[in-house]
Amino acid sequence: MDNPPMLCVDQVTYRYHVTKSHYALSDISFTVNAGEWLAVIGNNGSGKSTLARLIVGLAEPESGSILINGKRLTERTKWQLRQRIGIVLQNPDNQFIGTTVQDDVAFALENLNIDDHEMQERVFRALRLVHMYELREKDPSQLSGGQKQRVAIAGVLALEPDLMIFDEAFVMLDPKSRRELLALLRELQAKLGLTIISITHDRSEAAQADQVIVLKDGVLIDHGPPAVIFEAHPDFTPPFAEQLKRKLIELGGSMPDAYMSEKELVDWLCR
Amino acid sequence: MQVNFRSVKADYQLGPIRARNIIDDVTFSLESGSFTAVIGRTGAGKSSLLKLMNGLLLPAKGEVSIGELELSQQANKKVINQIRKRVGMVFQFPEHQLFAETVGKDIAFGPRNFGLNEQETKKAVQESIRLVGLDPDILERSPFSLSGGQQRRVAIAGILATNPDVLILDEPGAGLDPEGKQKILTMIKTLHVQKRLTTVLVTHDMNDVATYADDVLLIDQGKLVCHQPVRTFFQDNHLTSAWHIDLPEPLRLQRKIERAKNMTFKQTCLTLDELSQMLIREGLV
Ligand SMILES: Nc1ncnc2c1ncn2[C@@H]1O[C@H](COP(=O)(O)OP(=O)(O)OP(=O)(O)O)[C@@H](O)[C@H]1O
Ligand SMILES: Nc1ncnc2c1ncn2[C@@H]1O[C@H](COP(=O)(O)OP(=O)(O)OP(=O)(O)O)[C@@H](O)[C@H]1O
Ligand SMILES: [Mg+2]
Ligand SMILES: [Mg+2]
Repeated sequence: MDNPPMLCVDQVTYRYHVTKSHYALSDISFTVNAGEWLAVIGNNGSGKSTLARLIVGLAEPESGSILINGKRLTERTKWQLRQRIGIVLQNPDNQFIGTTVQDDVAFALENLNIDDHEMQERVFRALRLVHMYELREKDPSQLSGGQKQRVAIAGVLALEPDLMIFDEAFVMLDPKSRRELLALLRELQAKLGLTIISITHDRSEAAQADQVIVLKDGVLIDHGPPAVIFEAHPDFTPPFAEQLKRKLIELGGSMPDAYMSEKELVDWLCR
Repeated sequence: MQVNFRSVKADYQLGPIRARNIIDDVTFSLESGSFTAVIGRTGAGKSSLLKLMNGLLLPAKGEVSIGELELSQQANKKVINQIRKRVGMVFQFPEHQLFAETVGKDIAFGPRNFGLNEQETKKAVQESIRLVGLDPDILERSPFSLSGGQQRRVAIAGILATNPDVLILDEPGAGLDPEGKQKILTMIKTLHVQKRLTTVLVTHDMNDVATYADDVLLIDQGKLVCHQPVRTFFQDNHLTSAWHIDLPEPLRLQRKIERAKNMTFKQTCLTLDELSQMLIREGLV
C-alpha cells in the first residue's frame, strides 16, 4: 500500500491575470488514489475547468504543486506525464485537429510510438465503443453535438491512459448513451484500475462516484463520499430520491432525517 | 406566432453526392403560445430541425412558415432577416454564438441591429443580464474569458434581449449548474407565459420535458415519430420503451415503487409535487 496517489494537488493557487486580485483557484489541496472515481462539482465559474487545465499542464499554478504518480508536474516533466493522462475538454470543438473523425482520434496516439496497425486497431475499437465507427470518415466539425462529444471521448479511450479527466463531457449525450458510457467507464475502472476525474453538474452521476470535491469561488469547500457531501449541503439539489424524502417530510410525513439512497427510500416506502 | 412545417426535407448538401435527408418529410404545426420539447437520440436531427426554423438551414423540399413569413428553398435574404427578428435561437454550443469583444457589446448587438435606440438597447442589456443571474461586472469582460456556464448564460441573455416571438433553445441547460438551470428555465417559462411566446426546447432531460413543456415532438433519423401532449406521451409505456425514452424522475420512481409493491397507481405522476401528494394520499407515508 505504499504506492503514491495517482494525483496529489498541493496548495495550488492560480490567477488568469497576475495583475488582478481575482483568484480562479485558491490554496487547493486534495489527493486521488489510483483506481478511484472523483466527481468535481461546484457552481458555474467556481474553477473546475481551470483545475482540469492545471492538472494536464495546460496552465501552471502560481504557487503550490501537482504530483502525478508521485512525480511533480513541471514544464520539463509534463510531456512525459501527459502521455498517461487523457482529457475531454468542456467544448469538444476546442479539441479537434483532424479533418476526419478517425484521424482526429489517431492524433491522440501520435506520441505513443506504436505501429500503424496497432494504432488503427485502437482507433477503430474506441470508435466502435462510442458508436462512431460508421461515421469515421466524416469531418468532426460537421457532426451533431452528441457525436462531437463521442469523438472526443473516443480519443481518450484509444489512448488508454491511467487517468481520465472528463470536463462535462457527457452533457450532450442522450440518457441511454450516457448510461452506457458511464457503465463502460466503471467497468474499465474496475478491470484496469483506471482513475477517473469527472467534472459534472449531474448530481446523480456525482452520487455514484467514490469521492466528491466541491469548489466554490475557487476554494475547495468540501471533500468526501457522496452521501456525506449531499447531507452536509442541503442547499445542493440532491438526487431525486432525497428530494422526494424532504418533500414528504415537508408535507408532514414522519421519515428518517438522514440522507437516503433511492433503494433505501423505496424499501422504506414499501416496508 | 405559429410555426408550420409542410413536407419539409433538408440536408447539408456537401458536394455532388447528396447525403441522405437529415430532415425527411416532416409535417407538423406548433400553435402560437405553445411550449414544445423536441427530443430524440444523438444525431436524430433535432438541431437541424431548429435551424430550419430560423433560416440557418433552408428546406430542400416543402415549406416552413413562421407566422405569415415563409421559408422555402427560394427564400431570399429579406425574408430570412425578417424571420431572424422574430425567431431567437440559443445554439447548442454557446461559443458558436458569441463573437464580440465584450459581453456588453455581444448582448447589445441583437437589439441595436433590430432597431432599438441606444437607451433602449442599454436597458435591454441590463435587464437580460439580470435575468440570467450574472453580475453586471461581467459586461466589460471578453466572452471568451468566461467559464462554460457563464458563456451559456451570456448566449441566453443575448437572445432574450432581442425580444423574440418565437424562442428556440438547443439544450440551454447543458453546462449550467443545477440550481442555475432551474432558475433560468423557470424564468424562461415565466417569460413564455407573460409574453405569449412560442417556445421550442431541445433537451435530453425528461424532467425538463415534464416540468416545462406542453407537448413533445420526438424525432428519429430525421423523421417525425410523434407530436403529442407531454402527459399522453409519458403514459404510453410502449412508446417510451420502444424509443428508449427515460421517464421523468418522479414517474420512474413511481414505477419502481409499483414494482416493489406489485401494484399500479391510477395516477401518472410527472412532478415532485404530484408524486409526494399521491404517496401521502395512498397511505405509504
Ligand atoms: N481565459 C480566462 N481568462 C480570464 N478569466 C477566466 C478565463 N477562463 C475562466 N476564467 C474565470 O475563472 C473563473 C473559473 O472559471 P472555470 O472555467 O474554471 O469555471 P468552471 O467551474 O469550470 O465553471 P463552469 O461550470 O461554468 O464551466 C471564472 O470566474 C471565470 O470567469
Ligand atoms: N454541418 C453539418 N454538415 C453535415 N452534416 C451535418 C452537419 N450538422 C449535422 N450533420 C449531421 O446531421 C445529422 C443530424 O444532426 P443534428 O445536429 O441535427 O442532430 P441532433 O439531433 O441535434 O443530435 P445531438 O443530440 O447529438 O445534438 C447527424 O447525422 C449529423 O452528423
Ligand atoms: Mg467549466
Ligand atoms: Mg443537436
